[in-house]
Amino acid sequence: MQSILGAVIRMAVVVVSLSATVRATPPYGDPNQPYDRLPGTLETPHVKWARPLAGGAVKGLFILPYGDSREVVEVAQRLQLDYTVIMNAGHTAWANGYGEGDTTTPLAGVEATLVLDRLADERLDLDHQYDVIVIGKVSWAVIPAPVRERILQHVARGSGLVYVTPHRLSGGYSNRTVVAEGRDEVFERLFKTGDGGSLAGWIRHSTPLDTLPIHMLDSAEQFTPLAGVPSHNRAQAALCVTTSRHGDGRVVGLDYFDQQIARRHSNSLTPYWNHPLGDHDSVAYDHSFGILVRCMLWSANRRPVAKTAITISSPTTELPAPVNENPGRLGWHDQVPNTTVLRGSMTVARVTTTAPQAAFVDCTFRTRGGNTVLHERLPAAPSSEFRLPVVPRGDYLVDVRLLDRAGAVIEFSSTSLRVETEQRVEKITVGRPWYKVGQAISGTVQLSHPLGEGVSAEVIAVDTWGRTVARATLHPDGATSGQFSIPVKNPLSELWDVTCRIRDESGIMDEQSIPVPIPNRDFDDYMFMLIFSPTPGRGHWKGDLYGRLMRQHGINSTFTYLIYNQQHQFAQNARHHLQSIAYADHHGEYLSPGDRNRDPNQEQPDLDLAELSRMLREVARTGEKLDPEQFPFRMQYMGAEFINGRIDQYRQAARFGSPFYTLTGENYLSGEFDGRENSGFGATTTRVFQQWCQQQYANSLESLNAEWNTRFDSWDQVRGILLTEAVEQDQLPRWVDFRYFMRSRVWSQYFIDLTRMMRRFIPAARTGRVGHDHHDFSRYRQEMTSSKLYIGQEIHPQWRHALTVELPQSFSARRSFLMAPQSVLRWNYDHQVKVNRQRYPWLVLMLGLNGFDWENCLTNSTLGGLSCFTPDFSRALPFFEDYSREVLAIQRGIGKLTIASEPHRSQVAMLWAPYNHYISRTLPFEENGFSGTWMSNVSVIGGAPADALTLLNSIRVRPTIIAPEDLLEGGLSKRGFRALVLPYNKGMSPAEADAIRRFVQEGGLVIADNDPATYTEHGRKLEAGRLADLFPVTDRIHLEKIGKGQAAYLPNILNGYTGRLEKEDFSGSDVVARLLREHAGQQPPVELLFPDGSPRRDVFARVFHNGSTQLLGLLCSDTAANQEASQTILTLSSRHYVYDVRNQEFLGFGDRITLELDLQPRFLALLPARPESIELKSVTQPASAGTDLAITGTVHFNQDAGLDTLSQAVHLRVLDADGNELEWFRQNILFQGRTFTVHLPLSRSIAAGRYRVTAGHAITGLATSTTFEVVNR
Amino acid sequence: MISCDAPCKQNRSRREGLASVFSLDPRGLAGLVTRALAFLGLATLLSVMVAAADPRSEPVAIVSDDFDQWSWEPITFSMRQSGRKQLKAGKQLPFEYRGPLYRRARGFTLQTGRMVEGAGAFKGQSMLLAGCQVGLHGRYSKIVAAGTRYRYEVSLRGEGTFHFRAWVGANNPATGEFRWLGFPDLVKIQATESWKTHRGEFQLPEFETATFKLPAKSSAAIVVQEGDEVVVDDFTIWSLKTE
Repeated sequence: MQSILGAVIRMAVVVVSLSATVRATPPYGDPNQPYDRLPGTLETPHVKWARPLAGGAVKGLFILPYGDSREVVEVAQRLQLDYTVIMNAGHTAWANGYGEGDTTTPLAGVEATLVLDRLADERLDLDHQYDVIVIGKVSWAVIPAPVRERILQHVARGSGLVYVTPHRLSGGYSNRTVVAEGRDEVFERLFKTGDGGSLAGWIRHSTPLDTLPIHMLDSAEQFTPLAGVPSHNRAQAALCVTTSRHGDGRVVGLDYFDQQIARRHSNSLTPYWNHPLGDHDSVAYDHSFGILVRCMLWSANRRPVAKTAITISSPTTELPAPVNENPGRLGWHDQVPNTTVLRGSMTVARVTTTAPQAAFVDCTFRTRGGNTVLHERLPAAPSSEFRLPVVPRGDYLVDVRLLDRAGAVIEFSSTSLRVETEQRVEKITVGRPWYKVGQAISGTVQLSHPLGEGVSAEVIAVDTWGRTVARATLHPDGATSGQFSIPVKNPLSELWDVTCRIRDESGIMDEQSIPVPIPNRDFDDYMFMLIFSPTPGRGHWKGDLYGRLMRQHGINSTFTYLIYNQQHQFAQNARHHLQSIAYADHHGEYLSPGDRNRDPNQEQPDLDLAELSRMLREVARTGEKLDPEQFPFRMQYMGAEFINGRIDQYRQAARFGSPFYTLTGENYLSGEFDGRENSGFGATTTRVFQQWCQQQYANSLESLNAEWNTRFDSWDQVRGILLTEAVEQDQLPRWVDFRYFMRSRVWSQYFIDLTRMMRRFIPAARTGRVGHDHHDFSRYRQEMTSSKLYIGQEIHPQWRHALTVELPQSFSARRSFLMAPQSVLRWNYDHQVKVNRQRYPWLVLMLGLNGFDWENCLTNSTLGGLSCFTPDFSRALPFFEDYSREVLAIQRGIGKLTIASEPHRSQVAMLWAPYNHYISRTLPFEENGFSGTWMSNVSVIGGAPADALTLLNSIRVRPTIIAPEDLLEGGLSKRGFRALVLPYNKGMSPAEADAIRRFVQEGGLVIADNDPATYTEHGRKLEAGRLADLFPVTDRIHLEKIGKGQAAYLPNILNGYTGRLEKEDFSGSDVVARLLREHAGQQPPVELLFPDGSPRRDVFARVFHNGSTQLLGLLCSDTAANQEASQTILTLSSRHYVYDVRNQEFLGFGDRITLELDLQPRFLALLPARPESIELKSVTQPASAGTDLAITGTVHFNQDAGLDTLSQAVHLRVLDADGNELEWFRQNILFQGRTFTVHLPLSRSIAAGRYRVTAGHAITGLATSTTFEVVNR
Repeated sequence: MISCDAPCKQNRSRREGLASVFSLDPRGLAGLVTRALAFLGLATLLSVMVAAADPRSEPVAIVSDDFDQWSWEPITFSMRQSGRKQLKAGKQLPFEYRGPLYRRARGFTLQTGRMVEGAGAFKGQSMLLAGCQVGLHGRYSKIVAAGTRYRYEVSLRGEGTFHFRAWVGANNPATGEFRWLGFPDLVKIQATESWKTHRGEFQLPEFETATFKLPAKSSAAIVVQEGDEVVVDDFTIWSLKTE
């Protein structure tokens, strides 16, 4: 008893003490903790509305959520501002927001409270004097009373107070709707009364509200919700300004009515709106700050005395201005400028600005999209005037700043105008939804009027890099229409904008574009993907900025919400040069939150995935939508209509490439996650189960009854069983059969069927999952071959998690596209020290994965953490730079070369029979399970197969995992296997056993642990094992000669090896290595030895073959012994030139190379010849814009032998004369032998001049460059 | 800790229950009425007894475990690990299991002892505890408040000692640090070979709480040491609120 109690107490003490003493990870002040850090050095597009400001900087204190504090820097770009910031957690959370577990990256608990209290106390100390305090949408009810009191003390003595979207939502970081109880008279008096007075008038007359997605109201009572539009879908923001006083301070309520939704787009100082196409309207965003600046100046009593007015004078026109289609019913007004100028009258149009007390008038004429057309600084006059240039039809802005003699701003204003013409491009259409390379984009243009004298039309294609890549003639086929054809050749982006322009003698009159996808379906390089984080196309500043910044750190792709029908995101990704990875669906039996809590002791017959499978197969068969009357089944929302809707979405999604389509995430069969499965009782599922059982039991009901302990009289009575009933009725084999059937023939079958259905609309689509391993991978050989795998984020992932990777790789081979996960939700093992961060990207490559993702929840309410940047995005955090450095290195050719290579596999098979999972579940206290973590029912990590794989990997004999069906008909011999490992095969069919016996008799080696074939494949314990002749002795190591082969039983040799290895105990590895060497002729492709000649078992090694090139990844275990470097001898099968690719260092020539191995990842290349130099052939002739330039490169070797198949990669970049990279030309070229060719499709719009091409050899680091000249003829 | 032991009749079936005491026929409406009356009578009697014990107290039952309802629950991963070790050491598991499920008394969130029925039980079903602690998480979690007196009643038989033990931890509000302050036995009874019902009162001992503040309530568990075997039934705890 004392021991039990003692253990309980010790455990409790350890757990609780740890959780109590560990601070935020990383803690406040750590270089990797972004909380309270605003370097403010990153500049984004903006207008310096009030910067510099006459009278000097405004001293402002901002209280707003950490995650949105970038917006303070945005204000400071536009207003001369001396800012202090108190970052809280969220709009409805003061100190403690979202967090995950003890290692959550935000500050949490007591630390969060202490830090924020201290900062608030210091920064609100009355010793400080602020001109204005700004509250960014933080609920008045959430701000602690002492903080509110201190704010009001500042205001009472004269500070201004601007409260953006004042509200009183209750605390709780996820609360979006519940308002604090009772009335707060102070709140209402300060922020909800007053009419905005002169401030509102100032905003109205100086802001081009007519063209902005901001709908200004005179009072809050005027606010009316948009009928049928959820608030998060509003394309416009409502605005009401109130003013009041508190003591000597002036108070502004700047209410955007968005307290429930602003978090989504990280708007704390700006309004929330949602552009229907996911655009970030940077000009409107800029003007939002203009409004805030006015509020701050008014509140700080710094409103300029000078007032300006902008007048546009031009001949009147009756020409109507078509409305902007974007807001539509999603907004309150049509966003059309109130002023229309006829393009033909522009030469006489004038812009007049009153400029009292100004020394200069600074005028900018720009497009609504923000491109400056004209910028002038005019000398002061009571009324300054300038002419507008003739510009194409469209919306424009005139921005005016009045400056004093020192150039400081004393007032600013902006107005809008529409330039209209009668001659317009009405419509462009193209023949196909998407085009392949080699096809021609054929289309039609519809014009409003016939082209007149001196007016012409042309069609061009512009790629997403802004390059004009094609030009075509418009062939008239009527008075107001014409046709064009553009060949798709050498695209360097996934989208071309096909544009028709009408020109006259003054330039472009009008132009319209249509986006034309040219899907890139090649995914052959190392991916670094954004997931569940801000990303372009989500309509907000953070996604736009984050996507742009992350590309500089190697991010090249992003998870794309096909599941939410956000087709526009594919186009947005293309425009941001990110590849899309489609989050297509999230299927499973958890369709609503309540599904997680279904009674485990009740059958759930409404869940019938087999029936949905039948429906999917019908679509796959016909390629047509389902008739809901013919297929009336529904599983909540999933039914014929739902499937038909997905068909439409898949068709559209086919316009863009995606390496795979995620069909399910953390979704399961009902009850599966908790090991209390309760589905499988639907009518179709039961019918299919009966058929399956007939097959399994060779149509013998008697056999089934004997196995199950049942007394069924007919097959119609056969059905599944709940676990509790199986236990109570002593029918566990029935349950084993049923659950295996459900996983393999219902769950996995469903995704196979869904894939086949999807492929009717997205040909050759690869599919997969994001999540756990509750699938029968042996069935995923053509479908569901791809995934984001749950590996890493804890110590020893190369050993512990290898099975998660090996299963799909073994069964689907090169048809897979597999990614690893990474996340900053927790300060996990991978982040904790620099070397871990350096290891992870290389581990991913060594495991044969295609890259990894990066999860941030930057829109969550947190106090710090959850980011790899300071919250203003000015600086990447050190830990992320470590990852990024390695990713960028891998992306310079070696990643692509490795991904194109064949992984080395030994002639060793390992049998994975998934029904053993359920047999194992019935034996909870067995020595080792089929899987072995607390999530054993949904994960393959841990357990006997994982241990066996660790052992084999540790002796560098990489097996291939096979399933029972692969044993049959001499399958082992046919595939050349010499050995078979049975780590956990307690359940085994007679056919399997016979096949194994034959394999051994014919000379194979079989190695087993965990009593193989002692149960039937249905889970009934056998009196005599089916392989008892192969394994007559099981209580000790025993080798039995059977025919020409050998059968070895190794009790607890395979079992527990992962745990032993982690403790530097490699017992058992030598015996397995010896057995494989002596009885199966299996040697590792490379060997790693200590100086004393003993093999190293603690180094994870992976070998890839590509022609005569071998790539070798080495990763030492993170054990105590490996904290220091140790000498290791790498022995090779023959002499090679050995390079350290990561350090681009030549290590030597030979078949024994001495390495100093430590925790640093090593990636070596073994070459048959030594590259000595690299050169690019000089380009002597100038190249014309619009032509394709080819440059030959040569690698010089020390010898000729083996060169023909010597695979290499070079990394190419092109720079202009100023050293700026032309990123679209960046590429990794794989080649064999001496020469390679660089193809550079020069656009029609490339500037004339000299360019430099640089080439870096990915293995050796050899580099060269050459230049070429472009001329525009 | 205060306790008073009173001998009790062994193994009355649950069906007999009150009827056996009051000689009532439990069937039919008349039976229901008489049972209700009997219940009211018993309740009155109990309240009189309690009032007599402490005229300032107003008892509220915070634990009332008769161990009559049992269910099959999945064996958790941690149970697998610890169970494997115990079995390898040649020990018996403190709970009953079949396949992946084990039997647990209803109302408990983690493993309990074994179900005892028939002649070995006190009434209906009882719980056999051997070398284990039960109820710390869930059932008896955060139930004992400092400064409050409690009355208990429990029926026991077997060999060894029945402990009802508190897990007293506290936090430093300034730093968030947690610390265990102690694990006092609130009830400690030597079981007898035949069933006995034990009654008594307890109160959480006082601790030094200048720096570390006790939570509003502390958790407790039934503990039976290794080598002991105690069958428990009808474990009830009343909170005696001071007026």
